[in-house]
Amino acid sequence: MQAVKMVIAILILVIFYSCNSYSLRKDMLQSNALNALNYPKVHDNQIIFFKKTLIYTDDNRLLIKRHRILKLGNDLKSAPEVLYTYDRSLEKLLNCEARVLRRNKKVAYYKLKDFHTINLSNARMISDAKIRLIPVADVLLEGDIVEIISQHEQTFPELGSILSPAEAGTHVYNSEFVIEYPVNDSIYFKITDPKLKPIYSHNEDCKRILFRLKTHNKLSDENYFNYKNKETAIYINKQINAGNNDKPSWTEFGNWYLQLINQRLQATPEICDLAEMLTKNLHSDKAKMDTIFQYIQKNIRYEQEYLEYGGIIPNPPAMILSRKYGDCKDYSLIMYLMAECVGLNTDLTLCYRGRGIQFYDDLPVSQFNHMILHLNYDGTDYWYDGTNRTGISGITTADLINQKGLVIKKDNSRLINIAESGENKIYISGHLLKQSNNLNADLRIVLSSQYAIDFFYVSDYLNSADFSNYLIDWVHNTLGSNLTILDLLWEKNAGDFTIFLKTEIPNSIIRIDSNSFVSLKKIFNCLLPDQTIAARDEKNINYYPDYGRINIELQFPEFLPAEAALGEDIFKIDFNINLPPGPFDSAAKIPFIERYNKILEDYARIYKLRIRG
Amino acid sequence: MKNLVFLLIVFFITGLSYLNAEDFIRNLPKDEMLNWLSPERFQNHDAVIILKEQSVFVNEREIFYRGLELRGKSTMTNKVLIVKLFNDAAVERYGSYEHEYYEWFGDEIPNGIEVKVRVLKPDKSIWVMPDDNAQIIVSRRNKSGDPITRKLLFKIPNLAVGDILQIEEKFTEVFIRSYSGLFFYNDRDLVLYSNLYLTFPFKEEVNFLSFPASQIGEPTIQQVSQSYGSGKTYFWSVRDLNPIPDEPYSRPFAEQSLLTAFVVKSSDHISLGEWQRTVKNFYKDFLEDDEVDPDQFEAIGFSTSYKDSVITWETVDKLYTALRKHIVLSGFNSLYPQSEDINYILETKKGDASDAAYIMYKILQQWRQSVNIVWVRDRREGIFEFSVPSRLWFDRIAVKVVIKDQTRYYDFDRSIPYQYETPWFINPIDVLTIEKEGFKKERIQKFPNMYENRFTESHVLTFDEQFKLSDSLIVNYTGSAAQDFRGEHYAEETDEIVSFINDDIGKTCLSKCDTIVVNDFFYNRDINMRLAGKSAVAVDNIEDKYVFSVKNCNLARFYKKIFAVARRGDIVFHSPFEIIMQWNIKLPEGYSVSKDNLAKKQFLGPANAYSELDLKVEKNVLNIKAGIHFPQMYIPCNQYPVLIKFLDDNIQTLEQNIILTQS
Repeated sequence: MQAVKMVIAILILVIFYSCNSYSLRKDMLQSNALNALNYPKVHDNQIIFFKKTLIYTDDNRLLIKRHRILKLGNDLKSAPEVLYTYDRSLEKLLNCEARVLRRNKKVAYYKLKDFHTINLSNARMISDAKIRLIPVADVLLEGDIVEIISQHEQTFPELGSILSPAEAGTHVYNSEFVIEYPVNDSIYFKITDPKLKPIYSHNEDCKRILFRLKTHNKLSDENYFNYKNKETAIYINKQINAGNNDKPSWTEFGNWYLQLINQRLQATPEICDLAEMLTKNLHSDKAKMDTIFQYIQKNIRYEQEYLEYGGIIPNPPAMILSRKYGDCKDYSLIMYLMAECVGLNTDLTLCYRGRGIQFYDDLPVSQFNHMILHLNYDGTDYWYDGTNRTGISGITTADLINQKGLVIKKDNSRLINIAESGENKIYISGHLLKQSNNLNADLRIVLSSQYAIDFFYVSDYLNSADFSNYLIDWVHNTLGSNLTILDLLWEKNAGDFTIFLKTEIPNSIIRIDSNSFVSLKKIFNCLLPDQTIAARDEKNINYYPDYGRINIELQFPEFLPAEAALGEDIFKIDFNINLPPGPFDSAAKIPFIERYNKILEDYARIYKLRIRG
Repeated sequence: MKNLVFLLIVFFITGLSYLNAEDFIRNLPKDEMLNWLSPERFQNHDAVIILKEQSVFVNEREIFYRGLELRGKSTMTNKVLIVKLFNDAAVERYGSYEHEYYEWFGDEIPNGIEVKVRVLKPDKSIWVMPDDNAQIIVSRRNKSGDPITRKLLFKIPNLAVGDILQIEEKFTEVFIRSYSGLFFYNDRDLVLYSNLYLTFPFKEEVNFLSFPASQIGEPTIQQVSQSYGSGKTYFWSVRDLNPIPDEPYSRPFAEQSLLTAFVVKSSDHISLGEWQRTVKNFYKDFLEDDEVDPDQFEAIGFSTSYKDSVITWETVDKLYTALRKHIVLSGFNSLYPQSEDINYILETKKGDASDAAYIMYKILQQWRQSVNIVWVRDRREGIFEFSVPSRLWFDRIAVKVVIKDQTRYYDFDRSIPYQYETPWFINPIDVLTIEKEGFKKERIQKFPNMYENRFTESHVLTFDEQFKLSDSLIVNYTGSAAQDFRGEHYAEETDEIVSFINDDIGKTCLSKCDTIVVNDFFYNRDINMRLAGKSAVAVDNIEDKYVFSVKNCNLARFYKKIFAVARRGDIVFHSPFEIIMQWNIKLPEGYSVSKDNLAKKQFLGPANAYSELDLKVEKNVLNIKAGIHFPQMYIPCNQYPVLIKFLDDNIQTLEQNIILTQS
C-alpha cells in the first residue's frame, strides 16, 4: 500500500513536472497540422506559420505569446544560426521553447534553460535589452523546420498593442492573431486592411477574437507619395482605467502616462535656480522658453542609456542635469520642469520621428518613438526638441511636419498636428555663364526655418573638411547629381543657413543649330522626381519630400530669350515650388495632384535662347 | 588619553588624504599647451590626442584550478588617453567607452578591469567620474550561466566641446595566450605624445622590433627597482603623429601606423621567439590530429579511393567547391582550426576559414597529395614583419597544393566564390608555409591585371511610341569587384540582396525596376545581374528633335565612393581594374544622331589611367562604348585632384546631350 502510494505520488510529480515543463511544447503544431499548412514551394527561407496571441488576464496583465515556424530554404548562409528571442524590461521574457524538425525526421527540443544570453549594451546604447538564444549545433538545411514559441509579459498594457505579420518577416504565410480577454472586459481594435475579418468566440472564462491572414508580403517603399507602413495591422487596446469599459481615449492614455512618470515630475532646487537665473530679465513666456531651450540643447548632449523602463520613462531630472546627457525624453523633461519653475505652462508631447508613416489615431495605441515639448503662446503652438542640439526655437526639424503629437495634459491630452513653419524655404539665386555646353554658376542658397536646423547642428558637429563633404553630398542629392563643385562657403545667420556655391553644370546647354536650349531640370536634375502622380485608389495619399518650398531666381547674363524684342532684358528663370507636405485626404488630394503635375511641367520646360550681342 | 586621541586624529586625517588622493598615473597637461591646442589651429580635426600611453607589465603566475597547478604569464596593461575635444563629433566618439574581453576561466579565475576618468573644463575645474558610473556586464553567457565575455561600459557625464578628457584603464589578464605583442603608436586622430612601456621579469629574454626603426628609436631601459633580479622596463616615445583617417581605398591602419612588437625569446628554459619554434609547435599541436572519416568523404561527394590515383587540378578544385558548398563559414576567423573535431565540423557543416582549410589539407594528405598549410595575413590587414616571429600577425590558415611544378593556394574567405579564384586580398602577399620540421616564407603573386577585375554594364535602350525609354540592363562584376560584392552580402537573404540591387544600382538607371535577376554568385566567379524597367533617362522634345543623355551605374557609384573634399592618404585600389560601359539604343524610325555626337574621345589620368569613349551608329543602332582603365593600383595622395578631374571629364563626356534629328 505504501509502495502504491509512493508510485502514485511519483506519477503525480512526473505529470505535474511535465505539464509545467512542457507548457509551451504542447502548443507546437502536430505533424498533420504542419503538413496541412499552405505556402508556396520555393527555395527561399519562409515563415510558414506565425501566430501572435495577446492574453489579457483578470488582474490586468498582458501576456504575449509568439509562435513562429520557419522553413529553411536552400540559402544556408542566411539561415538563422540561432533560435532567439528578446528579453527587456518593457517586454519581459517568461518562457521560451523551441524545436528543430530535420528533413531526416530527427527532432531536437530546447527549453529556456538551454538558452545562452547576450547583453545588447554597447558604447552607443546602454540598455537592459538581452537576446536569449540557442546556438544550433548543426547547420540548418533546406527543408528543416524551426519552431519557436515565446511568452512575454508586456509591462505596460496601457500602451496598447499592434498585431502585424510584418513583425515576423518579409514573406509570411498562415498568420493568426488572437486576442483573449476576460468575459467582463471590452476590447477595441482598428484593422488597417478591410480584408481581415474578426472571428468571435467565447467560453465561460474568456472571450476570443481571431484574425487569419493567409499571405503577407512586405511591401517595398516606392516613393514619397506612399505611406511606408502599408502592411496589414491591427491596433488594439482595452479600457485603460480599471472598471471602465468605455472605449479608451487619448485623454485616458495621457493621464496614465502622467501617473507613470509622476515621480519624475518634481523639479529640484538646482533646476529651479538654473531656470530663474537664465530667465531673470525676460518677460514674455516665449522669450523665457526660448532661453531655456537654447541652454538645454547646448549643454546636454544626446546619449542613449536605457535602464529599467528607460524606453518610456525619462531618467530622474537631477541625474540628467548632473550627467549632462540624455535622450529626447530627458531633454523634454528637464525643459518642462525648468519652464514650470518660472511659471510657464508647457506640455510633454509624444510623437513619431520618421517620414511617411501613417498614424492611426482611432485608438490610443502607442506609435511613438520621440518626445518634445509643447508651448501654446498667443494662440500659436511652439515645439521644443532638445535633440536638435542647435536650432531655431519653437520649431521642429522638417521630418516632424504634419506628424501627430500627443500633448500630455491632465484630463486634456489630445493629438495636435505639428504644423509646418510658414517660413520654410530654400531660396536659390545666382548667375550662370556659358562655357561651351556647360554653365558655370555662382549660386547663393539660403535655407530657412525648419530647413536650416540640420545644417546648424551638423556644422557644429563636424570639422570643417567633413562638413564640406556633407554639404557637397547634400548638393548632389538635392540639387544636381552632376554638379562639379568649384568652391563652397557657408554662413549662419539667425534662422537662415546660407551656402555660397561655385559650380560647373555639365551638359546643361543643348545646342541645336544656332540656338541654345536650357531647362531647370537640366540644371538641377534632383529637385523633383521625374514622375507624375495620378489619383489613386487609396483614400489618402502622402507627400513627404525633404523640401517642398523652393524659390529659384537664376539669371543668364549672356542669353536672351530667342524671341526677345530689342532692348529686352537678359534671360531669367523664376521658379517656385510651393507644395505643402501631406497627408492629403480624398478631398485635398485631387487639387494637390493637379498642382504637383503642373509644377513638374514647369520644371521640365525648355527655354529657347540666343546669345546676346 | 589625549595623546591617543591626537594620534587617532592624525592617522584619520592622513588616511583620509591617502584615500582622497587622485591616483591617476599621469598629470593633466599644463595650461600653455592646452591654450595652444585650439580648433582654429587644427581646423580639420575633431580632437587632438595629447597623450596615448600603453604599458604592459608581464609577470609569472601560479594558480590552483580544479586540482591542477597552472603556471603561466599574466599581464597588467595600463592604457592612458588624454585628449582635447574640438567638436561634438569628438564628444560623441570619446564620450562612450566599451572594452570587451574573454573570460577563459569564467567566474572561477576572472580577469580584472578598472577605469578612472576625469575631465578638465575650460574654466580649469576638474570633474572626476565616480567609480560606480562604469559598469562591468556579462555580455555573453553560456547555458550554465558562466560568463564567456565581459564588457566594461560607460558614458562619460559632463563632457563638452573644449574639455580635456583623461581615461586610464587597467586590465589584468590572468593568463595570456601569446608570448608576443604588437603596439601601434598612431590613432585615428592626431597624437602629440605616444608612449609605450614594456616590463618583463628578470629571466625573460625578449626581442623588440620597431617599424620604422629610425623614427621610433631604441628604448630607454630601466631596472624595475633596486632589488637584484627585479626585471626591466623598456620605454619608447614618439611625438607628433599624423592621424590615420578611415578613407576608402587606403592602406590598412596597421600598415600606416608606427609600431613596436615584442617577442619573448625564452622562458623557464623554454626556447621561444623564433619562427622555427612557433611553427613546429603549431604543427605538433594542430596539424597532426584527426583524419577525415570515410563516411564524411561520401557526404561531400568524394571517394577515399582517390589516394591511389593521380590528383589533378580539376580534382582539387572540385574538392574546394564541395567543401565550400558543404560548410557554412563563420564571419570570424581564428588561426587555430578545431583539428581534433574535424569530423564534427563536417557533421555540423559549420566552421570558420581555418576549419575548412584544415579539412581540405587532411583530405589531400589522405590522398597522398603534396599539400601544406600556410599562415595568411591578407592585404586588408596589412603586411607582416618577418623579423617579428609571432602568430599574432595571422588570422587564418589556407592550403598550398603543388602538382608537378605548379603551385596554387586555396583560401576559404567568404568573399571567394565556390569555384575557386585567387582573391585580390592575398595577391600579392607573403605567407608562411608550415612544414613538419620548419617553414618557408613564400610569396603569392599572380600579377593581377585590370582585365580580370571589371565592372561592366550593358544597356539596351528602346524608345516607345511616346519616345519614352525602357532599359534592359546587364551588370557584371568580375575579379576583385565580384569578391567585394560577395563578401558584403554573404550572409544576406535573397530578398535583401535584391532590395540592395534595386536601391543601390537599379535606381541610378531605372525610374521603375520591373525585373531583377541575379545569378548564383556565391558559386560562380562572376556576378551577373539583369535589370529591366522604365529608364531614368529623360527624353526632351525640342522643336522637331529629341534630346537625351545616358545614365550609368558603375562609374557614378565609384565616383560617389571615392570623392572627398580633401584626401589624407594615398589611394590603393584592391587591384588594377576597369569600368566598361555600353549602350545600344535602337533609333526611332526616321531619326538619326547629330554628327556632333559621333566622336571618339580619350583622356589620361594619374598613374597611367586612361579612358576612351566612342559613339557610332550601325544599322540604325546607336552604340556608345566607354572604358575607364586603371592599370595600376597605387595613386599617390598628391595626384588625387588629377584623379577627380579625370573622372569628371569622363562623366561629363559620357553624359553629353545626344540629339536625334529626323532624317
